[in-house]
Amino acid sequence: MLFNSLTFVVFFSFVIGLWYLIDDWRTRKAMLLVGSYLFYAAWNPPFILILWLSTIVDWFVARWLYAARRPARRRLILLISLVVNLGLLGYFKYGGFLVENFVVLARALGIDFHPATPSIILPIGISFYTFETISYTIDVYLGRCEPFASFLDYGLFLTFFPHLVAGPILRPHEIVPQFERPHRATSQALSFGLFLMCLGLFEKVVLADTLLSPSAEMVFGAHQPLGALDAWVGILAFSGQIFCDFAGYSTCAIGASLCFGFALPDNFRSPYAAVGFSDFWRRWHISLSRWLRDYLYIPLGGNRKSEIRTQVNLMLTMLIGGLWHGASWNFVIWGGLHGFYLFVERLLRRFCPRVAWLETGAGQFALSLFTFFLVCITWIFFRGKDLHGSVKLLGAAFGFGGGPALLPTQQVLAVFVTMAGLLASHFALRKRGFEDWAARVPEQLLTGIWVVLCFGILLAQGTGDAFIYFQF
Amino acid sequence: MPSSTSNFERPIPPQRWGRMLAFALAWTVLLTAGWEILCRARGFVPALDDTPDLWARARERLDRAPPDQIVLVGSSRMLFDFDIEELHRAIGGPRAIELATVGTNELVMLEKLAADPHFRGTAIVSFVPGLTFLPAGAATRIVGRALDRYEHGSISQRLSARLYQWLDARLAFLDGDELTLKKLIEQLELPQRAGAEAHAMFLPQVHSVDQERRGRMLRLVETDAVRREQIEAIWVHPDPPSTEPPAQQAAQREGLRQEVLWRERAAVTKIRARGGRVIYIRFPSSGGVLAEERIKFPRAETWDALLAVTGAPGIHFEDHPELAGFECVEWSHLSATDSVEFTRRLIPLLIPYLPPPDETGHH
Repeated sequence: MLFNSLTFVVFFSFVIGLWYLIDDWRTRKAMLLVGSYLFYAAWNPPFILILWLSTIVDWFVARWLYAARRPARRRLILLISLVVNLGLLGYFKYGGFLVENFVVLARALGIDFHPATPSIILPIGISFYTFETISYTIDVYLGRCEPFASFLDYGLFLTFFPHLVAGPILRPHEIVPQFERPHRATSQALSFGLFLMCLGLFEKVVLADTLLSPSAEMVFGAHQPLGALDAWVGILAFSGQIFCDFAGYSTCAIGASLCFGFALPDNFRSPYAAVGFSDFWRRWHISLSRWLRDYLYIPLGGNRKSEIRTQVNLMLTMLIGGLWHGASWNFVIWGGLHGFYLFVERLLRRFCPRVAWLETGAGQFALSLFTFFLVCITWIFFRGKDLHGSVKLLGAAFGFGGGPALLPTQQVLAVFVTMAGLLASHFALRKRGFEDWAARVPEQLLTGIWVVLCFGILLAQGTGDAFIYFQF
Repeated sequence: MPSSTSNFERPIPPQRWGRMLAFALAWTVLLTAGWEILCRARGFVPALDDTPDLWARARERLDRAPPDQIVLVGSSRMLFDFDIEELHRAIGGPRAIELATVGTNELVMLEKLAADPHFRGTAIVSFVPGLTFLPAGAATRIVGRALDRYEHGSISQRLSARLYQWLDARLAFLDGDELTLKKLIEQLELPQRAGAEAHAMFLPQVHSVDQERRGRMLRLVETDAVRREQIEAIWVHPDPPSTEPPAQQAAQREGLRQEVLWRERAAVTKIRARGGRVIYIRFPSSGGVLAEERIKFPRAETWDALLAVTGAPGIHFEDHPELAGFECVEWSHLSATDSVEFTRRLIPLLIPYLPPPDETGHH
C-alpha cells in the first residue's frame, strides 16, 4: 500500500480510529500488527509468507542464541539466521543478476551457456526488513541486547507499517521500549504527525512526481544526443526527485508513527547542504549508513587498523551499500564513486594544510555546493539504465553531446525553481532540525504552509506512482 | 528487550498544532471548493478520466465473459467513433467490451488476444495507418501502462482506483487531462528553445468516457475553435528531422511495414484457428489528417496490404457512400452525435462478418 493512495487514506483513518477506541494496550498492539500485515499484503498477499518466515526464524534464533553458551554452537545458530535472511534477499534480489553475469563470464571463457530465464518478482521492502532482523540477531549474538520477551513486540518491531517497506531501518532499542510502555499520542503529537504526513506527501506527490520527475524521465530516457543544459536539468531533476521521493516517504513514516505516539529516528538531515562526503553520509539515509557502519564497516576493522586497511574497509562498505540498492553494476559504480570521494576526502583531511577561508561561511557554502555537484555526478549512474547511457549523459553534461533542445521551458523552470528552493531549505536547516525551525515560525505562517501543502497535493492529483526506494 | 535503555523521543515544536490543523483544514476545503467552482465556470464538468485502471477493469470483464465475446480493439477512433449501445441494440447478446485506448497501435492488444486461449470471440479492430505502422515507442506506451495495471495491479491499487473513480465522477477539478498541477504547468505559454517546440505542444482534453469506457468527443471541442485548432495542429505536426539518409529511412519504413503486416497476420491466424474472428475498420478522417494519411500511408501499401496478408475482412469508410459523408470535428474523430449515426450505418455492413445469430436471434 502506498502512502500516496486513497486506499491508504481509508486504511489509516480506520487503524488510527481503532487505536484510539481500544483501551487495552495488548489488544491495541495486536490490532496494529494485524493492520501492518494487511498493509503489506495489499500489495501482493503471498509475499507475506516471506516476511513471516523471516520473523519466525529470527524469533527462535535469538532465543537459542541467548540460551547457548558454547561459541561454536552460537556461531552455528547465527549462521542459520544469516543464511535464511541473506539467502532470501540473494534469491529475490540478486538471482537474476548472478545468472546474467555468470552467462557473460561463461561466454567470455568460450562456453555457450543458456540458463532458463528467471522471472523473479522482488518482494517489496525485503532489503529493509532483512537488515532489521539481521541487526536484531547480531545484537543478541554480541550480547548487546536480550531477546524480546513478547512476540507481539517483536512482530511490531519488524512489521509496524510506517517503516515496513522503505525504512527508516530501525534498531530494536529505538522502538521496543516504546512498545513496552502503554501510551497514546498527545493531541499535539497527533496534529504534528499529520503535519509531517502532509509535508512528506507534498515532497513526494508535488515536488518529486509533478515538478521533477518529468524532466528526469525525459533526459534519462532520451534517445537523441543531449546538450549540456538539458543534461544538467535532467541530472538536477533526478537529484531532487530521489531526495523528495525518499525523504518524503521517511517524513510520512515519522508522521504516521507520531500519530500513534511512536517516535522514529530521522532518516535525512538536509543532505544537500553537506560539506564533504563523511558529512553527506551522516545526513543521507542515516539509518542505512548507521547499519552499514555498525554491522559491516566496524566488524571489518573500521579505522582501528592501518590507513590502507581503513580505506579498503570504507570502499568495501560503500560498494556493498551500492549493491544493496539493486542488482546492477550501475549501483556498484555509484557506491564505488562515493567510496572514492570518501577516500580522497580522508587523504585531503590528513595531508593538506587547513585553509582558513574554507572555515568561513562563504567557504563552507562553496564546499557544500561542490559536494552537491559531486553527488549529482553519482546520481547519473544511480538512475542510468546502463553504463553506456550513463557515460553518454555524463559526456553530454560536460559539452560532449550536442543535440537539439529537448526539455520545454516550463519543465526547465520547474526544475530550477524547485531545486533552488530545495537547496535553500537545506542550507537554512543545515545546523538545526526542522522541529527547531518550526518552533520559531509564526503560527499563521505555519498554517499557511500547511494549507499550501494540502492544496498542492489535491491539485497535483497524484497518479499513485510508487516510491523509488520500494524497489530496493 | 530488557537490556535496552533507550528512551527515544521526537521533539514536538511548541506550537498550537491542533488549532493550526483546524484552520488548515478549513482553508483547504474553502480553496478546493473555490477551485471546483472556477473549473465548472470554465466549462469543465465531472467526468471519468480514461485511466489504466478503468481499462484494466474492462479487460477483467473479458476474463469473465463467454468465449465468443465481442471486443473493440485499437485507438481513439474506435473509442470515440463506435457506439457500444447501438451495436447491442442491433445484435443483442452481451455488450461489446471496449479495449481501445488513445494513441495506441492495435497490434499490442491483438497479439495479447491471440495469446489468450480463453478468447474465441470477435475482435473489431480499428485501423489508423499512422499508428498501425508504429509498433513501438509512443504508440505502445499508453496500452502498455494499461496492460501492466491489468497484469500486475495490486489489491491496493484496485481499491484506490475504485475510490478515485467515485470521486472523479463527482468533481470537475479531478481531470487528469487538463487540471492537474502538471498539466497546468504544461499549459503556461512561454518561449521555447529551438528543437523543444514539439515537446512543449499541449494536447487539451478531447474526450470523456463512461463506466464501460464508451468514449465521446467533448462538446467543448466542437464549440471552442481555439481548442479545436490546437488539437488539429498536434495531429499534423511534422516529425522531427531525421539525420539518416532518405534511402536508409525508406528502407527502415519498408522493413517496419513488412514486420507489422506479418505480425498482424500471425495474430489473426492464431485467433481464427481457435474459431475467433477479426474484422478491421477504417474509421473516417478528414481535412489535414486525411491528406497526410494519403501521402504518408498510401492505401495500397497499408489497408489493402493488411487485408490481403491477414485474409481478414475489412470495412473502409471510403468504400461505402453511407459512411463517407462524415466530417470529423478536429480532422480525426467524429462528434458524439455523429458517432452514433456512423455506428448505426456501419452495423449492417458489419453483421455479415459476425458469427451467425443463435436461436435467440443474438449474434
